[in-house]
Amino acid sequence: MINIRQDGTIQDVNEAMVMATGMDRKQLIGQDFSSYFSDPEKARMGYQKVFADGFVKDYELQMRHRSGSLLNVLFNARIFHNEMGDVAGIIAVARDISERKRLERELNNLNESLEKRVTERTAELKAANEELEAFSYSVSHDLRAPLRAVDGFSRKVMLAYGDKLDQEGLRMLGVVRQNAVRMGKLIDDLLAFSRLGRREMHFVAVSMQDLAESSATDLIELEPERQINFSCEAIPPCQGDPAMLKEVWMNLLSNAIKFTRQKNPAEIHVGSRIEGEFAIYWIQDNGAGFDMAYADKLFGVFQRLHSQEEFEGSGVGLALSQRIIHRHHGRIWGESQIGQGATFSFTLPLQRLSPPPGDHP
Amino acid sequence: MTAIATETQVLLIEDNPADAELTMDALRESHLENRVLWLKDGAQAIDHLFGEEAATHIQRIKLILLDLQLPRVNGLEVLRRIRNETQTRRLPVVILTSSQEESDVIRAYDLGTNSYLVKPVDYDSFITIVKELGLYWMLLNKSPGESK
Repeated sequence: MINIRQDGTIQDVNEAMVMATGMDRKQLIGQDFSSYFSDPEKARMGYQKVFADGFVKDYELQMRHRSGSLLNVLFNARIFHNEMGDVAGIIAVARDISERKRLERELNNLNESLEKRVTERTAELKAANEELEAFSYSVSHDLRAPLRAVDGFSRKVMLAYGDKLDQEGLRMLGVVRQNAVRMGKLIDDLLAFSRLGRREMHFVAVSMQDLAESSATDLIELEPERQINFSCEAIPPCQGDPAMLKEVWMNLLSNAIKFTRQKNPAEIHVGSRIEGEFAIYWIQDNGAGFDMAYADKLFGVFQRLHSQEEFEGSGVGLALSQRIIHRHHGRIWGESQIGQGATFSFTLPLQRLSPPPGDHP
Repeated sequence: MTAIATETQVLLIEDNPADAELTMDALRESHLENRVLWLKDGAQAIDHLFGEEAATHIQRIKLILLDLQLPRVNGLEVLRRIRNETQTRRLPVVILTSSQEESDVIRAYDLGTNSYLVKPVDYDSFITIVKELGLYWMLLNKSPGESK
């Protein structure tokens, strides 16, 4: 605490001021107060402000100790009057904020280094992404070309030398060709999967009912010899990317159609319920089902729970669907018992949420 | 004029010999195999189209089948040159590539390709596509300056 006269000289100080300056009380009294601050000009301005406004609050200054060290303080000050009611000077109270200042500096440093790290990581991510793009590009081109030669030249052997090969030789060449084509399909699916993370999303209101019904109609038309009973309850629309959500319906419904192959009739039903901010859509079938012990493998890329002879497929459909649902801030899961059919459910927010940042493969 | 007409050519610009052979197999099915000139990279293509006797060469070309990933000068660069030069800018160019990348499709169209086809891995589809494309561009399509 410090009392200052109108002419700027110190009238009195308390013990704290003595410690802050390292001077004797007697030495301080009568001195120009501003000489004990690192910025005397700013100290005088604060002083004048007290006379102009009657007070100052949290006025930041640095006090100078006799040893040269500095102390950060906040001043609260007001004028005081003598017995006659005239302004006699000001009374000022200082609060030590050195610790706060130190924390502020530390926080600033942390922020700066954090920002620097974010910049670095962003650059790294960008580079990794570009590398991945280059990788998928070469996958799409460089791996497909030799496959075409494998298939093409096997076929040429069949055409040109087929009469010189016996049944077994022709069968083996057939196996070569089938596998070349299958690998081509795997490459295509993998590319589609990697491309999905880069694809821009276009959010609009989507009629899930139309998507589910049109997908089912298209898929069931491909199986004219089978009896498939399909029904779709009234399900609510959602906010999302219609092309991507169509892909989810196509994947889940074609799975249902595929895994009910041994059932006559096949039963496939679509429904929904609302839970809080989310709609839960489900697709239920009476097909082969799967063992819940492997449920965590359902959505992995190239993960399959059935042999290729039983049910064909590349194991990308559910991984792709999961990725789409995640990009829509939803969840997807499957429930089943072997031989008891399966139910796949996914949630989508009823209101639009922004897509997550850095959502890349 | 008839002499020139019978000599019209498919210019196949393709670095992969297996793909080139399969392409020519397919064109054989459309009886076009004798009218194919195979150039093995982009630099050869540039030489053929813009070097000595370019005018004679260009006169015979009815269709260019262009791969994208070519050594030395890539397919898009060849396409750019073709569209930039007055004497070649109206030649029909069909991109025939393994690349399904949307960015390649967009760049090829921006540079003025007439068509973009992705080579299928499976032989039968590949043969069908190339056969039909040969028939369409060589027999059905009308280019500027043709009498019929």
